[in-house]
Parts: sequence; C-alpha cells; structure tokens
Amino acid sequence: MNTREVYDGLAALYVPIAVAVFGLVTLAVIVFAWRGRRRDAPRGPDENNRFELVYAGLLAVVVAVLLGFTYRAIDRENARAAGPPLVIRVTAAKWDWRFEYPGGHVETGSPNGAPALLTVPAARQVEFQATSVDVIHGFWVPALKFQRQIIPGQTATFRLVFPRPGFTSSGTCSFFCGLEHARMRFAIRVLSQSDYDAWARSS
Amino acid sequence: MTRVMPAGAPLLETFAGTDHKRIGLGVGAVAFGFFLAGGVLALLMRAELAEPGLQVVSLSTYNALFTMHGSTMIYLFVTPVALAMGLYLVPLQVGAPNLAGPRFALAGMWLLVLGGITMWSGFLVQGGAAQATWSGFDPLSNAINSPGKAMDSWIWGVVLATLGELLMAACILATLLGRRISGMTLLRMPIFCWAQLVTCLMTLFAFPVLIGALVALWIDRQWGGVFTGPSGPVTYQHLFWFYGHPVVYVMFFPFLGAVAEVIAVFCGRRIFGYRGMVLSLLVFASLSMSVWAHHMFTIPGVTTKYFALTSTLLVIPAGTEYLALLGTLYGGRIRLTVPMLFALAFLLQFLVGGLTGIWVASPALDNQANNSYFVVAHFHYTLLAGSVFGFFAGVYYWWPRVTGHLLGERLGRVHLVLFVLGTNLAFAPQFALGEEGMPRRIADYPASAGWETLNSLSTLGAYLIALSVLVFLVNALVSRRWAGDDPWGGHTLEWLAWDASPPAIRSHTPLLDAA
Repeated sequence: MNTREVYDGLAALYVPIAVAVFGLVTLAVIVFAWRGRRRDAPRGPDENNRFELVYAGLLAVVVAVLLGFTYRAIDRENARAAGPPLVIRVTAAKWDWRFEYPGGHVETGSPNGAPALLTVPAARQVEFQATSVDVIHGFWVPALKFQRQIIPGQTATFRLVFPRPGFTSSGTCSFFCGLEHARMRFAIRVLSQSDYDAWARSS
Repeated sequence: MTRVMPAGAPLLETFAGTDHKRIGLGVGAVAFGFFLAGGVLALLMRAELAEPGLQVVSLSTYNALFTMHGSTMIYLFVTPVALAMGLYLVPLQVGAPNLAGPRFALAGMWLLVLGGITMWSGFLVQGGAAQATWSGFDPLSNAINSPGKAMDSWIWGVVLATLGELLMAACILATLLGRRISGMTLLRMPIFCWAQLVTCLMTLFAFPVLIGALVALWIDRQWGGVFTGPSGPVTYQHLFWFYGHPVVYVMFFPFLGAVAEVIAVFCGRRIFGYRGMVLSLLVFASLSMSVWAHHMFTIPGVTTKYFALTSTLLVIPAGTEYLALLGTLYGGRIRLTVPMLFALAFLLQFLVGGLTGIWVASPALDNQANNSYFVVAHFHYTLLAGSVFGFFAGVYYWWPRVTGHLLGERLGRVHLVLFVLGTNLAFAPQFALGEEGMPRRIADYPASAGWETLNSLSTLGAYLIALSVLVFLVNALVSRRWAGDDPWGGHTLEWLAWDASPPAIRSHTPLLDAA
C-alpha cells in the first residue's frame, strides 16, 4: 500500500482538529484574561457537573473518530495487493546498508563514503525483508512516511510502494546505533518498471 | 522522636537535617544545578547543529552530549525537582509538622547527589561519558557495543538517583495519606497535593521496574545471559518504557498542580470543577500505566491498535484538566502577576506538546514522527514548554514563602518573554525538520538536505532560552523586596502556617490537630 497516501489522508483529519483546538484555547485564554482584569469580584459556579459530563462525552466522540480513522489507516497500510512482490533483502550493520536483489546482486556503501544505493521499480509492491547483524537500526524512507525498527536476530518484513520514477532519493537509519549513526544513510533510485528490468538484467 | 541533632551545628543541620523544608530545598537546589549543567550540554549540541559538517565536537563527543543531556534532565532535574516541590509544600499544605519518614527522604536526597556524581563521572574515564542514549537500549548498551566504565557509571548513576526519587515519593505519599490535619479530607486537599499524590503513585509503580531493568542490564554486561536471543532487545524496551511513559507524567503533574494553584489564586476563586479534576488526575495516572508501547509502534509485532487506544484515550482526562483551568479563568478576577503570566504561557505552550502527543499516539502518523526531530520538538514542548514553565510559575509564586522576598516583576516579565521567544524559536522549527526526514541523535546532516536555516533558528532559540535563565538568576540574586506573610492572598495552608513547623518540632501528631 502507498504509505504516503495513508499518512496524508490521516494528517488531513488530525491537523485541522489540532489547529482548531489550539486556536480556540488561545482565544479563550486571551479573552478570559482580558475581561477578568477589569472585574471587581470573581463570579461563576465552582462546578457544573452536567456541563463537565457533556464535555467529556464530546471528547470521547473525538477520540472515537480519531481512533476509527487511525485503525482504518493501519489496516490500509497492512493490506497486501494481489500478485507477487519484488523481494529485496536488507541487512543493516554498523554503519552501512546491504541490499540483496532476487538475482543475487548486492549493493552496499562504497569505501569512499558514497552511501549504499537502493534501486526499486515504481508503482509496484516491494517487499523488504530486513535484519540486523549487530544493534537495533531503523529503516526510514521519509518521503514514504514509513519506518521500521530492525532488531538483530529478527526479520522485519514490510511492503512499500514507490509511486513514480524519481519519487525520492534518500533513506536513513532512524534508530540510534552508535558512533556513526549520523552517517548511516542510503540513496534511493526509483525507476520505471522497464528501466528497472533493464538495470536488473545488466547488473 | 527525640531531637538527635546537636544544637548549634548549622552545617550539620544543612546536610543532615530532617526538616522537610531543608530536604525539599536541598533536592531542589541539586536538581536546579543539574538543570544548568544539562543546559550547557544542550547549548554545545545546538552549536554543533547550527550548520552542516562537524565544527564544535566530534561524533563521539556529540553522542555523549545528547546521552548526558537527556539523562541529566530526566533523572537528575525534572523528576527530582517535581518531587522537591512536594517535599517542601505537601506537609505545609496538609498541616503536618513534617514529612512521614523524613530520614528516608534525606537518604533520597543523598542518593540523588551520589547518582548524579556517579553518572557525570563518566566524563572522567577514557573514551568519555556514556553514549547509549538516555534510555540505554540493549544491545547498543551491552558489553560488546558499549565497552568501558562510562556505561557502568551511567547505569549506577541512574539506579541510585531513581532509588532516591522512589524514597522521596514514598515519604510524600505517606504524608498525604497519613499526616493530614484533622478535618482535611482527601477531597479537601489542595489540587497541588492531589497532583503530588498521583505522581507518587506512578513513581511507586513504575520506578522499581527501571531499577530492575538497569540492574539486569548491568548483570548482562558483566556475565551475559539476560537480554539474549532475538526477543532480548524488545524485552528491554518493554521494561524501559513501562517506566519511561509514567515518568513523563511524573515530570508533568506536579507542575500542572502548581499552575492550577497559581491560576486559582490569581483568579480569586476556587478551581473550577475540582472533583472532576481530581478524577481526571486519577484516570490519567491509571491510563499512564498502560500506554508504554506507543514508544515502540515501529517494532514489527507490537499490538499497535491497543496502545493507540489507551494513548488516545488520554485526551479525555487531559481535556478535562484544560476545562478546569479555563473554567477557573472564566469569571475570575484576574491579576496578571509574573507567576500568573507563566501559568497562562504554560497553558498555551504545553498545548502544543499535548496536541502533537495525540498525533504521535496514532501509529500511522508515528511511522514518520518516531525517532525524528518531530518527536524531539514534541517532548521539549511538553517538558520544557510545559513542565519548566509550570516550574517557574511555581518558583515565582512560592519564592516569597521560601525566602521571604518577592522576585522582581520587571525582570520576571523579561524572563518570561525571552523564554517564550526562545522556546518557540528553538523547537517549532524542529517539527518541520522531523517531517522532512531529519533523524534525532545525529551530530551532522548533509548540506544537500537543506536543513541549515531551520537548524540555525533552533540554535538561536536555544541561546535565547539560556539568556532567559540568566535573567532569572539575576532576578533571584538581586530581588530583596520584603514579601510579608501572604503577599498573594493565597488559598492554602502554607500561607497561613508561616513557620508553624520549626525544625525542632518532630512530633508525629499533626501540630494543628486540636483545631
């Protein structure tokens, strides 16, 4: 599933609510403080149980809506389209990435400091089977709004779709892994299916 | 109890006196010292991050800086200073002559000092201080990946400080439950006392788990065999976050309580919906024990829907607390003193942290935010823009009760303005940086990423915060305006019981019991 679409869809619900709440509270603080400065004596009830209950109920409705859409987003991210995916095996090690393709072709970072290059076809499901040989690493593609922790001894399996050629060019380790964590990046090249096939044949 | 302290030994009284005010001040002073020290580490980090490339420190030093900054702020500043306010104020507010078990609290203070020294001694060993983050995740923190004594001194530093905090919390809780003056039922306690009560409950339930996890980690480092196999690292994270989320609220509720007291006093009325607020604090504390794995949403196999449910449910008690505070403002006769201004700033600043907290409670959104600068911005809005603003509201409010002097209003306002500007300048850009893909805990980023402008702004903000703290220190040093017994028209017993509990009185029966 296209994780970026799922993320953007959910953000379109969360952001307006957050902005509205922040605006309302700011307005309330300013107006109440301004009016309260000129008051001679405090007024108003110490509590109003019915109002508080209705308000809590309203919050519960908001929570239900947020959770409903969040659950739907989780299901959409986990949904798997029919058809076999391209499987790429990822090995994370301090402080480099290793990508292994179906034909056995392997890409890693070069000794001169150029990061490992991940080449993927656009608009097709790519299944990553990721593991680590030392500490916990994080596989993060910011443009896809997606990351997973990679635990040593376990295999993290996840499917991603890169929507179009040239979609993004960078990924990184997101989980602090020691001295050169800051340098543990990888490059991404998203090709059209035909370009990818040509690359896969030649490599 | 008989008086054991020899008379006329002020030094001994300072270091070993069992009066709760001395202990509270001692813990507060130690914690504030660590706040300044941890702040210096943050300034070094922000200097390094202002532009791409390595200019100020090495990768290794940077990793030690953020590890020690986080560890210092959480284990040695915010948590102990939250409890210090309780040690000082709770007995006064409930009309008790002293804490229950003051010697345990005194031991807690010294364990905190010992823990802090132990943790910071890591800077003296070869290779520098610990570099495995404030959470010490296995396997990065094991003997293979973090050899050397600095990691061990970090472990024991955290264990000792946490043990001390546990003792302090136990004393505060026992005081709240067993030392209240007759007539003060639980539902008549000031809201600050309720905030301390739920804080201590969370401390007692969560902190032993951290101590256990870290001792297990130390055993693993010596002899191996604890966090082994593919599930070991995940087990450590479960144990750590079982402590690591409740502690977030331990570091928040006492300051929320302080803000509530300040708002009520400067509105000249009772807190609106007191009972609802008490209930919401209890619900909040209960839920806080079941949300921990929202820090682990990006681990394959974690039950994300359950933890999204419990985490998002926090909206209800949190919203209720905002209703109580806004409801108090509505209809209040408002005096915009410095403590009140800090409390109002707290309401808006913390809200940013709270709203982004709802964001990261959604696993689909956390897939991006987790371990990015978005999270860094989020928790600094809760801990700095929330807790520390609430802390300063309390400091300006209770300063005359503690010292007899009022802090200067003008310098206080300068402090506030600089603090608000600095905080937002430092942390608002980090939301955008995280969204654009900047991971946390990196000393360097590629120039091609285009993050330099936002990072420079953030660095500028950090230095403004430092300036604002300097203004506060000047204020504390120069302000000598005599306050009188009750300068604010306070609602709670500490303003009435002026020196009602001199250090010499150590009766276990509440002093005002006959009243």
